[in-house]
Amino acid sequence: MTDEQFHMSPIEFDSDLVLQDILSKRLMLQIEQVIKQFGIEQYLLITLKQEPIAGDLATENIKHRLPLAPELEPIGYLCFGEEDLVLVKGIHRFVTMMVQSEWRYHMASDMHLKAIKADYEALKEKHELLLESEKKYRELSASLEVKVKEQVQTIEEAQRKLYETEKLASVGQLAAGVAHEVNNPIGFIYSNLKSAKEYIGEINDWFNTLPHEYQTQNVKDLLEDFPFLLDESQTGAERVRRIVADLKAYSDIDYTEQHKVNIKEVVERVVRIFNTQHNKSIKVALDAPEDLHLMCHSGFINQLLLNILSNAANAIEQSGTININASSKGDAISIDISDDGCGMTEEVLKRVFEPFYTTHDVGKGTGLGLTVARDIARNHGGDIELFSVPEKGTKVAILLRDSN
Amino acid sequence: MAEWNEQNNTCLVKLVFYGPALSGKTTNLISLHNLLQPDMKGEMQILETQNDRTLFFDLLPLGVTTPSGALIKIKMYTVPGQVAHDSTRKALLSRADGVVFVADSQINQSENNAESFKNLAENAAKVGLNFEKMPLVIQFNKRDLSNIVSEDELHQRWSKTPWPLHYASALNNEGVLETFEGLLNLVYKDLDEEFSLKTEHQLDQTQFIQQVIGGAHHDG
Repeated sequence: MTDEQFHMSPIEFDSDLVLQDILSKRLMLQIEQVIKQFGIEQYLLITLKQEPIAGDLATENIKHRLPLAPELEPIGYLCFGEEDLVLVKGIHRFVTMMVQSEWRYHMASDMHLKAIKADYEALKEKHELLLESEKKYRELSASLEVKVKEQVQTIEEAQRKLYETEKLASVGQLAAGVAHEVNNPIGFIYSNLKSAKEYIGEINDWFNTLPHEYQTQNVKDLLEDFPFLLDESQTGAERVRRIVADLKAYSDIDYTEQHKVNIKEVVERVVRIFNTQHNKSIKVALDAPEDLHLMCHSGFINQLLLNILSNAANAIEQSGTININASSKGDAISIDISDDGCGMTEEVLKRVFEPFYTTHDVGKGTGLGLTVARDIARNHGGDIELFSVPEKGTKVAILLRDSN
Repeated sequence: MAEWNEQNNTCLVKLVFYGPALSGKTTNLISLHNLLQPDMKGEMQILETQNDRTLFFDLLPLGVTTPSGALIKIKMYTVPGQVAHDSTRKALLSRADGVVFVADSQINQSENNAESFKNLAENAAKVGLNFEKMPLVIQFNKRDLSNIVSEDELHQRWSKTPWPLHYASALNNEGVLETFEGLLNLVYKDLDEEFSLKTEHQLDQTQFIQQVIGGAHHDG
C-alpha cells in the first residue's frame, strides 16, 4: 500500500458522517478483501445518491441493497447480485462494523488532535508568559545590582561626610575651648609684660640716680638683659595668641554658613597650622594673587588643604620643599600643591582615592585623607587630580568653584 | 447552535453531559440508551475508558423525523470528568445546544461539583456559548446512596438560580428520563425559534418529546 492509501481526510468528531470521507483506499481494499474471502466476486458500494464508489457489479444486476448505517441513518448502500441471503447479511454486518470502527477511530483521533493542539497552545501561551516574567525578573535583578551599588556609594559618602563633619566639629569645639581658656591668661600675660617693661625702665632710671659706688656691674648687666627677656616673652605670647586665632579660624567655628574667603589668607593660615604639625625641615613656598576669592565652607577647604599638605609632609623624608600655586582658571580656582618627596607608583596612584586605602601602618592613617579631600572638592563643584613620579615627587591639582 | 443541513434535510443537535469525574455521566447515557425508544436509535459508542473513567467521550446518536419529512438528529456526548482532560471537555462543549450537568450527591463531593460547574461556565465562555441563556439542567445523581446532601438543602442552594433541578439514580434508571425531558423542553424552544419546528415542520413540543422518548416507561 502507498502512503496515499493510508491518508485520511479530516473528520470532525461531531460532524455528520459522509461515506466518502470515511472510506479511505485502505478501508475499501480491506472491505473488498473481506467480501472476496467470503467467496463473493462482485459487489457495489454506492452513495445515498446512487453514485458508485467501489466494486464492479453492474447496476442492473443488483439483487440485494443493504443500507450502511454505522451511526444512525444510512450513509450509503452495499449491493450484491444473486447471492445467499444469510451470507450477504453476515457480510453486511461485518462491513458495517468495519466502517463503524473506522469512524470511531476518526472521532478519537480528531478529539485527540484537538486536545493535544489546545494543550500545546495553552502550553505555548504559558511559556510565553514565563519568558516574559523571566525577562522582567532578569531586568529587575540587573537594575537591582546597580541600584544597590548606588545606594552603597551614597551611604559610604554620607558616612565619610559624617565622620569628617564630626571630626571638624570636635576640632572646632576644642579650638573654641582653647581659645577661651588661653586668650584670657595670654591677655594679662601680654599686658603684664608691657607693664613689666615700663617698670624696668623706671627701675633703670632710678638705678642711674644712685651713687656710683652702688651701681655694680652685676646689677647693670641684669637691668640691660631684662628688657630683652621681656621682649622675647612678648613675642612668644603673641605667637600663642596667633595660633589660637588660626586654630579658631581653621575650624571655622565662627562660620556655620558659607562665606566668601580670600584664598591666599586661607592657604597661609593652613600652612601655619601645618608647620606646627610636622617636625621636618620643610620649606613651603606660596604663589597666590591677593584678590582670589571663593564662596565656600572655609572649614572644609582648610581640611582639604591640610590633608594634602600632610600627605606631602609624609612623602618628604627629612627636608624638602612644597610649592603651592593658586590661580583663577575660568569660573574655577585652581590650587596646585607639589612636593619633591618620594612620589607614588602607578599601582598606588590607582587606588589613592579608595576609601580606607592607606600605605601607612595600621593606626597611623585612616586611609580617608584623599577620599575626603575629593568629596570636599566635588561638593565645591570641582575635583582633584594626582600626578606622581616615584622618587621625584607628587603634584596634586585641586579645582574649586563657588558653591551656592 | 444546531445546524440544518439543507442537502439531506437534517438538523444536527448536540447535547452534552457535563460534570465532575465519576458523577455518572456515562451511566446516564447508558440508561437513556436503555430507556429511550425514538424513531431511530444508533448504537452507543463508548470510545475509550481507563478504570471505568472516560478518556475521550461516549456518544449516543438518536433521531426523530418530523411530519414534514426532516430528520432531527440528536447526538449526546459525555465529557471526561477528570481535571486533566480540560481541552477535550472544551472541544466537546463547543457548539453544544444543551447541557445536562450531572452532579454527585455525596456530601464529600460538593467541592468537586462546584469546581466542575465553575469549569463548565468558564469553558462555555471560552467556546463562545452564552452560559446564562443556553439550555442547561442540573441533575443530582446517586440519590440511592446514604451519605448524600438532602433535597431540601440542594433546593435551597439552587432555588435562586435559573436552572431546573433534577434528582436521579442513573444506575437504577431513576430520574434520568425526567432530567432529559427537562433539557429537551428547553432545547425545543431554541430549535423552534431558530427553525420554526411547529409552523414549518408541524412538530410541536409535546410531539417532539414524545417522539424522542418514544414508548419509554416513566418511572416515578
